[in-house]
Amino acid sequence: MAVVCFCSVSALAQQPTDSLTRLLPEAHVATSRRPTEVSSAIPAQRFDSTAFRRMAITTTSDALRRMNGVNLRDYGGAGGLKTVSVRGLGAAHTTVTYDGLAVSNARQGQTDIGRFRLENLAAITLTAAGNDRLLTPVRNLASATVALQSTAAGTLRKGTHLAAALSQGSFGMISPSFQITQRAGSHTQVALGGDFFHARNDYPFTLKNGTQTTRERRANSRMQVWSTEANLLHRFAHSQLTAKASYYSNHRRLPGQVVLYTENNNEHLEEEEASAQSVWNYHRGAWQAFGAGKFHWQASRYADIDPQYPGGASRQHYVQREWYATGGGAWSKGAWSAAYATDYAYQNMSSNMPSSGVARHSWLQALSVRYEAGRLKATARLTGSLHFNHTPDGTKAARNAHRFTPEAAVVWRATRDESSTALYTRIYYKENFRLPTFAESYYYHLGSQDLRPELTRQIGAGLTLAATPASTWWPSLRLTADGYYNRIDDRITSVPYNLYVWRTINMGRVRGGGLELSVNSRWNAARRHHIFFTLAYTLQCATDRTDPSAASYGKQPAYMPRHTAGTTVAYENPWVNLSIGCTASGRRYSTHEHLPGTRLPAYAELGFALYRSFTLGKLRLDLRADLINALDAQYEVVRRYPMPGRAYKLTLRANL
Amino acid sequence: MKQFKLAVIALLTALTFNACSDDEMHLPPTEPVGTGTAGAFVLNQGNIYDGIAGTLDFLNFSTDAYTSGLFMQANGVQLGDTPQAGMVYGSRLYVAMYGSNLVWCLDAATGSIVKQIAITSPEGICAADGYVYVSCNDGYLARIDTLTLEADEERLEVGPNPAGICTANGSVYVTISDGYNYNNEYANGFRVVRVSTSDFSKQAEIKVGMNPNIVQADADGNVFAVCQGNYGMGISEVKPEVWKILPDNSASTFVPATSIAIKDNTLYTIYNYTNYTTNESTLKYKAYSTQDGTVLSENMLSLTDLPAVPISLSVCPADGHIYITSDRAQYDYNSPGYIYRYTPDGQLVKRYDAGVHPFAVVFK
Repeated sequence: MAVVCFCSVSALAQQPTDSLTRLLPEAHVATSRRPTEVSSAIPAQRFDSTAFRRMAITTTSDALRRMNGVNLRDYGGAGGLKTVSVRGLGAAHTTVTYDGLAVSNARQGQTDIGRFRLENLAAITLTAAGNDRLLTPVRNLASATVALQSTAAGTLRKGTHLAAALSQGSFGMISPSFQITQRAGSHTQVALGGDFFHARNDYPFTLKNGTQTTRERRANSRMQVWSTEANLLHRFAHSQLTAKASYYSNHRRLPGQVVLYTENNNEHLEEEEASAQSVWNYHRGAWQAFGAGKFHWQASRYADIDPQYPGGASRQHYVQREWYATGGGAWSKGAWSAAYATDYAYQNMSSNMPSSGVARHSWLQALSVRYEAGRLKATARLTGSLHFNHTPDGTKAARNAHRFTPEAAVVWRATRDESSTALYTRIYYKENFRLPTFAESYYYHLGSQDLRPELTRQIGAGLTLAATPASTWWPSLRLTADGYYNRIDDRITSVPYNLYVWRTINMGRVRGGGLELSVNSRWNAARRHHIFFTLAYTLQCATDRTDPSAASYGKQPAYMPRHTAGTTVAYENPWVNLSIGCTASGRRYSTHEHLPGTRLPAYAELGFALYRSFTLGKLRLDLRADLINALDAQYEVVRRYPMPGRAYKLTLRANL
Repeated sequence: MKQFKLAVIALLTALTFNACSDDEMHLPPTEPVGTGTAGAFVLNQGNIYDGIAGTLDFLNFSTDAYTSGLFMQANGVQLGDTPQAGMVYGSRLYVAMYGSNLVWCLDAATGSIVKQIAITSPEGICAADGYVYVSCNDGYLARIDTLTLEADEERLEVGPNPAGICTANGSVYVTISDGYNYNNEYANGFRVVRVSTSDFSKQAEIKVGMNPNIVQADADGNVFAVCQGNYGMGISEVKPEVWKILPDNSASTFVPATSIAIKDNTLYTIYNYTNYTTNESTLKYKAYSTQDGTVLSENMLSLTDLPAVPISLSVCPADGHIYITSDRAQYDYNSPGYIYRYTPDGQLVKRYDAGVHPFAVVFK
């Protein structure tokens, strides 16, 4: 899919001091230039492709599970929907951006993170409570943002480069991919890439039914993906233009939930996406500007083939289109800088369902001011949002929404500037809201046009310590600690009125707090022998504060573990590199009411990876073997959707 | 899962075959349906969306002891998903498991499994003349021979989304709801199909109102079908109504209700209706004469002890006690619900703690 990473909007539109260097590989390199996430005023976590390699992970969702505050909803296997909720806010509050621009889904309000393959990503950055960058598209200022940056460097390379990869793994997984990069003239580069992915996903799992334990297999779980992407990069004297066109198609069967005594699920889902985007970034002296546009088309065709439905199947077809434009400028003088950005989006959806023809215009603006001097950086921002909903004549449109949401963040460096050890302290506050999705507003028998937006308020404080304890053998140590408190009001929930009729209503109120700790360290054991260690631990406590008489009142919401942790140890050496990783989660309930029998036990998943690169003249070969879930832990993230057990994956990558 | 299912069937048949084949020989050709003298089973539907399996409870009338999770106790495995209806016939309890695509044949004395009978999407269940009839939501009526406990190979096609089922006048009456065709105003439903119990063939199609589900017969062979309408969400509002079908197949609207139960010639009703366009709700508990529709009671339940969120209504054939299953609270579909038991004149006898979403009471 992704081939060449050009500078994204966010990568260029930032502080003048390091606007281009940010693109270079940065993690774990103890130099005087620190990664931006270290000095960020809001919690920011970043893994780049070097870090992915050392983490014994194989998917984008695995990478996110190693980050603080992430609660991944995973329906299991390569074809299972994977959505990211950060700090208990719900997946609809997480914006996923791809090369700088948001990937939107107005119908469902959440993005399937499984759609992005780790092999095609150069970096993943997760920010909670906004964005540390002053000039950025307004949409990227969400309550939580997962910024995905596609592969390869943003630098112009000479000549022609070819890369090809082949992966093969358990449960019938095979995936070839290629990319070709061609320099065209002194300032232009074009790239083309594509990949194919096929998996049967018929993994075995253990089914417990009372006193009986049986071994079963997931069925009707096949998935096949084709994707292709073309990229263009052109550098001007003071600006850069990138353009991208992509197509993606995914045909999958859905195994459905595990139901005792029967297995007759026959659901199919075909998804297609096509998009074109272009980003222009300008930076000269005290001035910065950007402009970007995107068109995104996505079709989803779902069928549940079952004679219970009229015509023998329930078919739901949706086509969504989005036209999106964003632009802004920033100016700085001395310690002060100011930025203004504005977004306009038009989204519509047609369908074979009664909700066809619904549309929304959104106009967002953000005005930001920053004071940065010495050891202090303080930012204030006000975002104004206007949303207008439209429906075809005669039907009621969802409520329009407008609101100003403020945010503020302060980071202060507690250590002196020239010291090699840096300690940053930060404090921030952010308000944000999300609109009801098209499904929540219009879905037949479920949607309600009277919904109000769901409001979030976040407050938090944290510390980051970046140090070089010993420049020879312990060149890098980074520790972070963050505490936060969240409120969600007017939470949008669907409730059943009776067996046949469900409705979405604003009735939830959730209060939550949490603590996030991380350790990131590198040791040099000997020349060319390095040991890397990462650890992320998250404590999340949230309670439902909706109705004191309800059984769920005061309880931790469903599917939110109190404790989660992820850790990695990697040993890189001249022979073969080894990485061991672990992701663990405490117990949680699948019901808000904590009904006995709906408790999901704690689990830990252990992975191993061996990897090595060879160079044969101009050819570089990367070989990698992953052992996933090595101890064959049997667990579910979503009740009745078992996760795969032990599996392997082999990858061969050739670069010329 | 298929292998697992076969293994269970094989195991169960091996364990129970000898014992039950002996018993079967002594069963009379027509077995009595549950009389309500011994007790009542409760089917708790659970919540398939949240992965909560169904459960089976039993209320013993002589000791007033309420046993939760009888099926698990007796068999060591779970009941399965979405029990929809049940009936006691002879010494057996039959339970239609919609989500798990099977009908359990259980020993009514112990709750232990006699046989697992694979039937697709079973909804309603009734019995007559040595057969158990099961309406299947995929458009068919299935028939199980109670001697062999085998379902007929061929199911009888009756119409889209058959729902409730009852026997009267030597026939099985099945409501055809077309309930999944709500986008098209349930157009292919509007009928009750009458099937002969002598040759398992379709005798008549009787036109009734929109979206019929529950169907029950009175002592005179009149059949009452509850037509739920469109919940106020169609082109124009169609309110719930009970249709009365005479033995000669003539049918007409009778009284408004969303749930019914009949004892002798009294029609007990719940009218629990919300127009989901205007969100206006009405909740009434009334009793009518099945003969002429005169109101026997404007409030058949004591107003001080009304159910929290009524789901189903049943009347014990033996003593006329009224049983209403209920969720714990509005919007709370994951907490254990209640069974409310009232005397025939509507005084609350007791509230029992049931399982999640108690859906039906089956008298033994």
